[in-house]
Amino acid sequence: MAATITPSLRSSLERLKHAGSVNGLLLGWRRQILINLLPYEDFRAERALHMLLDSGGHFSSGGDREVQSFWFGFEGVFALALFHGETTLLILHTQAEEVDFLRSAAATFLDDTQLLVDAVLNPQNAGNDDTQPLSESAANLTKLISH
Amino acid sequence: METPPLPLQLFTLREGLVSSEADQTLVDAFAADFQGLKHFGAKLGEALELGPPWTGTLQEEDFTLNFAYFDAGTGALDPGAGAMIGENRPFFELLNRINDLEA
Repeated sequence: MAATITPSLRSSLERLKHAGSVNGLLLGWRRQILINLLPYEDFRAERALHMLLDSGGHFSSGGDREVQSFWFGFEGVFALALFHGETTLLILHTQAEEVDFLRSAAATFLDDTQLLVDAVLNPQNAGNDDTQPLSESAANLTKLISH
Repeated sequence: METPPLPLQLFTLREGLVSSEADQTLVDAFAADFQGLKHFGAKLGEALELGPPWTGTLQEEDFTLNFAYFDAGTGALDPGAGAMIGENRPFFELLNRINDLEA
């Protein structure tokens, strides 16, 4: 099952990568990288993921706020981050005017992703004995998804 | 009775100060979020070697806040503007709205 789920997840992400002026994507679950399609090595991508989670944690630390997305503009590139449950999606893109379209597409992707990620994390619910559960260690998660 | 959503509030950044026609509570709230957003944007930029952000937006279910520096730079004393509103507003529209304040 994992063998069929993860390529599905990856191909969905690949399709999103072809939307608009996207030049990089990162999908994370908790503090672990699920799929890194950023033009950066994993250690940088992981640092970015952690930074985004820390940012969300900062704003929600009072308990009455929940950041759903961040959007930052840098010299020549924009970074759009969306949170959905324990999943984080970071999109690098170059055209500012595409941000709201990308936000909408990414939100749909994340909605769909919940089912795939849930099936990976809770294989017993997927009803397939050959599914291998992912542990909470980063090594197991990254091993299942080839970059 | 339901509280009406926060209407669009605009802020200017100049000489390291946040100013607005909004009341002081809102100015303080914007200043706190702006500083946090700018800080974490800078950290993200550092992680990806992109430098400091010239604009940043955060969005919650019923709240959107942003800032943008004008062309002079992204330092603490450089001019810029920001906005916050009690609804989920398109990011690009809000960015254009505060860029208009430069004119």
